[in-house]
Amino acid sequence: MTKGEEAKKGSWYNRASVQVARTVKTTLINRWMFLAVPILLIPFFIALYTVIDPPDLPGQWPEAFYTIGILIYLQILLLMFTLIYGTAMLNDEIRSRNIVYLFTRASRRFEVLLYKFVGTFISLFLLFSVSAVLTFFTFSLHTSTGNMWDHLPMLAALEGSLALGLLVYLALFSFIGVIFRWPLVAGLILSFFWEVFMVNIPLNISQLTIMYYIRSIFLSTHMVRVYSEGSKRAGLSGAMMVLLVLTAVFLAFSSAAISRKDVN
Amino acid sequence: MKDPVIELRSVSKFYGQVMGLNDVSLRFRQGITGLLGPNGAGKSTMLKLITGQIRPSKGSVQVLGEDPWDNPGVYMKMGYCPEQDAFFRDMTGLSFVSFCGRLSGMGREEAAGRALRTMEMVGMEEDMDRPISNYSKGMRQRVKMAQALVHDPLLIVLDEPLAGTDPIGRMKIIELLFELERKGKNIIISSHVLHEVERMTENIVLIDNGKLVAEGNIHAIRDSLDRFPLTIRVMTPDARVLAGRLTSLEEVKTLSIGENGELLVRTSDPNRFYNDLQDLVVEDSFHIESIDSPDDNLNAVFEYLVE
Repeated sequence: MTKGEEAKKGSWYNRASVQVARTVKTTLINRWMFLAVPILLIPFFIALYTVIDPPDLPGQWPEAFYTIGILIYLQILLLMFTLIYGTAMLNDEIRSRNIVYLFTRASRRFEVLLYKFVGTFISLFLLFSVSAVLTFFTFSLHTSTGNMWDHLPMLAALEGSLALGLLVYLALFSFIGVIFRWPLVAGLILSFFWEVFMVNIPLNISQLTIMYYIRSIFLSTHMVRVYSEGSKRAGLSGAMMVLLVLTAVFLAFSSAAISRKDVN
Repeated sequence: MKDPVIELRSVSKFYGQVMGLNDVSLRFRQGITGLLGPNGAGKSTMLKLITGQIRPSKGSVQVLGEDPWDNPGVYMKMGYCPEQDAFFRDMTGLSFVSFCGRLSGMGREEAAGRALRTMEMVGMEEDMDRPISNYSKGMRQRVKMAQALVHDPLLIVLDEPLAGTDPIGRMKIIELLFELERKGKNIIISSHVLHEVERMTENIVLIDNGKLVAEGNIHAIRDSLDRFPLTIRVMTPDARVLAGRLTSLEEVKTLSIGENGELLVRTSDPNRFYNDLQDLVVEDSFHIESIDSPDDNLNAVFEYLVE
C-alpha cells in the first residue's frame, strides 16, 4: 500500500469513527433518554412484577418471555424506536442546521448517512440488548421451569431478531425521513396499519410485511416454536437474507435521495 | 489572466415560485472578493450554490475547476463559515473545531493541535474550553471562522462573518483575513455592511433581487457610472472665487458651498475635471488644502446601482 493510499485509508477511518462515535454519544446521552429508558424497560418491569408477586401464570415463564418478545419487543418497541430514531437520523441535523458542517467536509453525503445509521444501530441495539437480557434473567428467577441456561437460545433468537429488525427498519425509516415532509405520520401509518396489522392476519399476505421475517427469526428456535401454535414462518437463512437485502435496498434508496436533496 | 477560483455560468436558482438567483454569470478571481447586496438579495443562495449545499435550477457552478455538489475533493480545499448560528451546542469551542478537523479526515492528535492553533488565530484561546452555549454572539462568530480554517483550505467562503462581532473582534477578523490573503488564500466574504467590505477589498460583486448588478474594482465601477455625477469636495479658502472660474467648465454640472465652507463640485467626468482644476490652480495660484470625493466609496456605488 502506498503512502497516499494509507493516508486516504486513515482519513476515511478518522471521518467514520468520529461520526459514528458522535452519533452513539448523542443517541445515548440526551434528555429523551429519561423517557426512552423506562419505556424500553417495560418488559423488565413486567418480569419483575411476576417475580415479586407471582401471578397464576397459565403457562411457564418461557411462554411469558415469548409473548413479551413478540408483542412488546418486536411489534411495539422495535417499530416505535426505529420510527423515531430512523426518521430523525438526518432530519435532526437538518432542523438544527448543523448538517452544513457534515455536508461541506470530506465525506460524501451517503457516507454521512451511513455513519449515522451505524451509530444509531449500535446505540439502539445496546439499549434493546440490555433490556432483553434483564427481562430474560428476571423471568428466569422463576424456578418452576427448569434450568435458565437451557432457555438461552430463546434470548439469542430474540437478540438476533432485534438486531436484524433494527437494521431493516432503521434503513426503511431513514429513507422515509429523507423523502417525506411529515415522516413520522408516514412511518406510523406504515408501521401500525401495515406491519403490525397485516403480519397478524393468518394468510399468505402476511409474508409481504417485514415483520413476518423478523418474527421468523425469533421463531427459528425449537423452544419458541412450542409456544407459537403453528404460526407461519420463513426459514432462518431465507428470513435473514430477505432482511439483509431489504436493508441494503432501503439504504441505497435513502443514499440516493439525500444525495439529490437541497439542504437549506 | 489566471484561472477563476469560482465560475458561475448562467446560474438560476428557484425555490418553487420564488427566485433566489436569476441567470448569473460570474467569475471570482484570486484574493479577497466582497459579495455585497441588501438582505434577501441572493448572497446566501449564491454561497450555498458555491458550497454545494444546493444545486442550481439552471446553469453550472465550478469551484476550483470542479462541480462542488457532494464533492469532498472540493470541500477539502474549501472552508465555509455559514451565516446561521448553528453549532453542536454540547461541545466546547475547541472540541467543536477539533471535531470539524476530524470530519476533514485528520487524526485525533492532528485535529486537536490544528484546532488549538486556529482558535489562537481567531483570538479565542482564553475561552476555547467553555461550552459554545455560553458564548456571546461575537465569540460564536469567531468559532465558526475557526472551523472554516482548521483544515487550512485554499478557498474560504464567509457568509456575514462580521455580524454581531464587537469592534475589537471585527478588527481581529479583518486582520486575520489580510494575513490569509498574504498567504495566498482566496476569500469570498458576503456582507450587507458596506464599509466593512470596503476596508478589506476593492474587488466586489454586487447583487440585488437575485441579479448581478456589478462586479470588479470598486473605483472602476464607480468610474463607469457616467450617468451618475461624482461629487468632488475641494477645501480651499478661495471657494467662491474658484467656483466662479469653474462654472465655465463643460464637465461641471453643479457647484455649491458646503457647511464648512468647502466647494462641492458635481461632475460627470472626474478625470477631465481633475486635469482642468490642476491647470486653473497653476494659472491662478489658487491655494487648495485638500481634494477628495465623498461619493467614491462603496456606499455611494451601492446606492447608485441598486436604488
